[in-house]
Amino acid sequence: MATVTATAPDTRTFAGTAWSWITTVDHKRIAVLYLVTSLAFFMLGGLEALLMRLQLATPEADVVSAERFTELFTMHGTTMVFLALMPLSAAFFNLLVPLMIGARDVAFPRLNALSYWIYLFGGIFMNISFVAGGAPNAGWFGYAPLTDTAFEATHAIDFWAFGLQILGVSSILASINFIVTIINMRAPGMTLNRMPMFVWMSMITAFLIIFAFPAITIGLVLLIFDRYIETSFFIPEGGGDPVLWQHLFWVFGHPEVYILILPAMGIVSEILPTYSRKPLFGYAVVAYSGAAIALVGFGVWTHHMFTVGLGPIADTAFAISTMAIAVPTGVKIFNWIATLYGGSISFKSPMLFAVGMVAMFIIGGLSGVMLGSPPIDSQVQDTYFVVAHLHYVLFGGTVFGLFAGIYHWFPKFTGRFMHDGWGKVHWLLMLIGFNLTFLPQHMLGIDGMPRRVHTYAADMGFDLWNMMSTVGSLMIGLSFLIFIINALRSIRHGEPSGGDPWDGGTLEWTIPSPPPVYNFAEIPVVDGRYPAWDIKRGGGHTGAVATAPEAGAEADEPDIHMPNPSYWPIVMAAGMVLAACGLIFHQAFILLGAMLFVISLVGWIEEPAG
Amino acid sequence: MTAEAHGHHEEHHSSTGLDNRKLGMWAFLGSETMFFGSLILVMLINKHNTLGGPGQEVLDLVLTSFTTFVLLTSSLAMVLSLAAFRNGSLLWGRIWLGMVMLMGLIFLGGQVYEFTEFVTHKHLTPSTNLFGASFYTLVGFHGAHVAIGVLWLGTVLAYTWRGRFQPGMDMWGIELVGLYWHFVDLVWVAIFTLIYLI
Amino acid sequence: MTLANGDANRPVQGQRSTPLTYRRRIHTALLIPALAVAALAVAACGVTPQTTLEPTTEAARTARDLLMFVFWAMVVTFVLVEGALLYVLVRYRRRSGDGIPPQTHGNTPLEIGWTIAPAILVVIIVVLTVPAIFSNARAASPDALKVRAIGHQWWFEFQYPDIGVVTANELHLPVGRDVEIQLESNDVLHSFWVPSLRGKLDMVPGRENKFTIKPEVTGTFPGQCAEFCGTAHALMKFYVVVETQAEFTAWAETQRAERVPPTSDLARLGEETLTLGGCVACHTIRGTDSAGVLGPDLTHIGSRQHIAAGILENTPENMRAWLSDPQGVKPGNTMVIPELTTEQLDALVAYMQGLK
Repeated sequence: MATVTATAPDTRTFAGTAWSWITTVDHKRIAVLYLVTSLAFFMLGGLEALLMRLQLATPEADVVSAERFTELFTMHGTTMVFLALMPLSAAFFNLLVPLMIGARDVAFPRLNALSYWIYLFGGIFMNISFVAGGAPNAGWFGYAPLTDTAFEATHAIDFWAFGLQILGVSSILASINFIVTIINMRAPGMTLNRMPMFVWMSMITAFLIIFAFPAITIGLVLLIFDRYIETSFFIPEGGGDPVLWQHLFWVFGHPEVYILILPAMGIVSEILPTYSRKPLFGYAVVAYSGAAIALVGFGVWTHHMFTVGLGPIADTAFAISTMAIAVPTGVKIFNWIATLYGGSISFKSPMLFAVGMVAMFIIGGLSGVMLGSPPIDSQVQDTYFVVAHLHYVLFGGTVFGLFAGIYHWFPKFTGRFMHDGWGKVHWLLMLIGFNLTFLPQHMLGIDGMPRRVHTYAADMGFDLWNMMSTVGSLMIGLSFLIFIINALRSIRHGEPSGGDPWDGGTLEWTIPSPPPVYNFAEIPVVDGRYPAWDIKRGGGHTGAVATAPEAGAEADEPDIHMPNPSYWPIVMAAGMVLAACGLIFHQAFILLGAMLFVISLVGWIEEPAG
Repeated sequence: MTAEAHGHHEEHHSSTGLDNRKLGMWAFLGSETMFFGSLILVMLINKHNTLGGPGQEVLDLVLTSFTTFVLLTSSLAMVLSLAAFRNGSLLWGRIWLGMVMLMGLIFLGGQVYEFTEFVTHKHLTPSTNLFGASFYTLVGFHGAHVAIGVLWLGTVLAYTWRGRFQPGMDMWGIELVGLYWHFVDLVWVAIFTLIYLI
Repeated sequence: MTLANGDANRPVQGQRSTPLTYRRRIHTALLIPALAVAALAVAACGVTPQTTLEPTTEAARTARDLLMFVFWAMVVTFVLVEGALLYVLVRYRRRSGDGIPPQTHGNTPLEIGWTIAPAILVVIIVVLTVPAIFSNARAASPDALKVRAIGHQWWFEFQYPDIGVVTANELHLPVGRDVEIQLESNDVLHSFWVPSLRGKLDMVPGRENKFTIKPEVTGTFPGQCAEFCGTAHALMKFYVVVETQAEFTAWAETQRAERVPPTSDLARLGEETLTLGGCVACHTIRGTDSAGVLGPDLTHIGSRQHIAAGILENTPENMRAWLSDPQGVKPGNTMVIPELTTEQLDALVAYMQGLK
């Protein structure tokens, strides 16, 4: 154990600063690492998308080759899901969960660092494939038997399979960490019934991850065995069944959709009340509908497989369960609108993004109901209609929600505002660009354009819609550029925000920005859902929250024990990824990776406790 | 994880009264349940998928019944070991812990023998047919879990000579490996029933 | 656009007004935020041969009708919910001097109400969906024509086991008769999709899917593989030619026969080039030494409207382009052709064109 002063980063030298980031176990700094890394991958995935849109802008274009195009859409999907949106949500879990529940850190700080480093190395590992003989090219759901060695003899698929396994480890470890943190480290008085909605959604997401990921882990294990030791789990010639892969993938894949959307829903459930100055309407119903979505989400996976030919009875059963999910989803939206009803709504940029999320997610939900009906699905499945639908959910919903979160909590991360005017420009450009990109894709699907095609003929009537879509995607790209510039500028030159710039209601707004290493000088005692409002407004509750007093905090640094920094997480993560490299490049790496892993494990256990 | 002091520090904030590490272990085992659940399902799907080659008939019920009995007994030894440590009997705690390891090793030995027998005499390899592939995958992954458990038990045992888990101390380290060990046993009961018996 | 819907062979012109009306409406309504652009667009892309909105069978019509119903139900929902959202945002925008608004926490009757409302809508959709699912899965009548459709990377093989016809990338069907199509795959997943005939169904290696349709309108309808199947997935197309029973019988008669022997010297050289060019290893041309089974049956390649799996019209120029650079036309494609002299190429083209 060390005191706060011992863990304070030595920022006098570059090496000192770098070392302090490499060895950090502070959830707030890990949040920053997650944020920066996931935005970088978001940009990479976006560039892949732009290349595809350029290729598809005109019929029979030749911007990229057919082979390259298959890599682009595979890596775009994989990157956005596993390397951009999930980790971006993880950035918010890291920053907010301990602050919102009144804790000093997560339950297992070193494990938290380990999760991050595994994610970083796993993401790099997967993208190395672009320069190491070909990137994954079988689509982000890698349907067997296209992934078998008979059809892809290079290591492209191996990069994908091992990469996903590595990222799965990271996600499961992080989720265990947050489950324990949320269940066990809440401040006194912070009952489940008083937890901020974002924390609720984080907890549900973490449970979804630990229960959903094992299915794809097994799927990938079997795929790797098919590729490496000549089993035939998914190969019909050996008695296997390609459809088994689809089941294993979508048992994971459908909950994954909720893993991606629930954190954004949680963010919106915090932002709407803040900017309308009203508590979340129907708190319990919103929380339970989140849980209901998660639960039913495990029973709908074959709606991704309506065209596989599972028979009318299976199709009927899964159509019903799929439709059922529309109910709790609708309930959430109604409660959000009711939250705004009667409020005093301020339209700062975070609020615009949050409202945009609600408005766009509605469209994604409605087209989802259409897809839930198997006869309709049989026509538009695997067309651009599905592409449009999934982007209304994951871009219109998740991306808008996460950006709302970035603008809202940027002052908490940095102590400075992002520029609100440029934020609004970003929002407007992204909103228009997004709709211009994806609305026409509904029409493309209905008019018969399959997804994952690298080209289309000029006489199919697809030209105009595709051109519109490409123009829209360029607008999205531009809006992201504006965001990046705004963010970079605001870190140094943004207007100072103080600890509570938005009149927030949850615990993180009771402490300074950026928060001190120990978060709370004194662990708060909570007796309501919006403790910060209770203090400021003095009504309703007694307001027994202890805050870190901003005045005089510097002079009297409290002596609070925080965990030591540690370099073992990064070493262990490196060992794991090196071992995976060994399965592709040279066996020596396996040995090296295993050695690093064992050494770091011993080091981890033996690390002095202070 | 780190030392007891750390544990006390965290227990101070524990909302449920449970130790963080134990709660984390429960969450991990929940995930593991889905992991083995998926593997067992794959095995059940392919149970009769033999392409005319060797199938369920190669399984040696007598040997496996014995090793199953040994593994189940090891769970009892695990309980006794924890009880002994808690009662302040370092010696009996160590002895029972050693017994758990020994029984785990016997189980693993049985499995190694079984696998060798299948490959050399029954001509069943992972690439023979999907019965073989699923069997080796499922039983192999379980075996790996047992092996990790034995290593972990060994580590915990070694630490009893390095000042940990002394009388009066928090026994979280032993409880943790115990939870894991009971889980691995439980999974084996499912595998044995579904694959060997039925 | 001469391929499909404008086909002069289609007699039932009167029936087309309904689908077209529907389509105009969906075009307009989907683009509420961009109405001006949409109006332009409807004018600009009037011809969409592969659209799902112009069904010519019961199965496709069922899907279209359901699509339109749910679509309009969703439009109404969209307008109501987004309208409520916009209204609330405008009505309750913050004004100077606003204090803390009344703090409402929830309302149980409201919650029950807006749980039941979407539930009712969803139940209605399910009630309409279930019969459609089962009617789409109906069994064929005993006199149904049986077709095996086999997916290959990247072309479609069609076999008519009862009448002994094997062809590729152009499926001929008689009008007004049940057809049972059995879907198989030779390698990876593919999906059989002709939007105007029926929604898609996957071709899964190791499994046999089948569906029944009864074509009601003659004409040529485009279809395309709809499950990603590798590099040239976008170039795996085919056409369905629905014709009268008499036309179909005549077509089948031609297809059953051996190849038409070459009549000119050039074409005869073409037939000799089959061996030289290695064509015989993969293609079957009945009546010659060519008996390979890896590629499409070419016995009557000259009679098909398209080549290279529906991506090129069957003209001598296209045939020549295809034979001189198969990988350029269709990336990833495994057809191997040695360097041929101009004369050999001319001969092959002439020969192929003659295989009516």
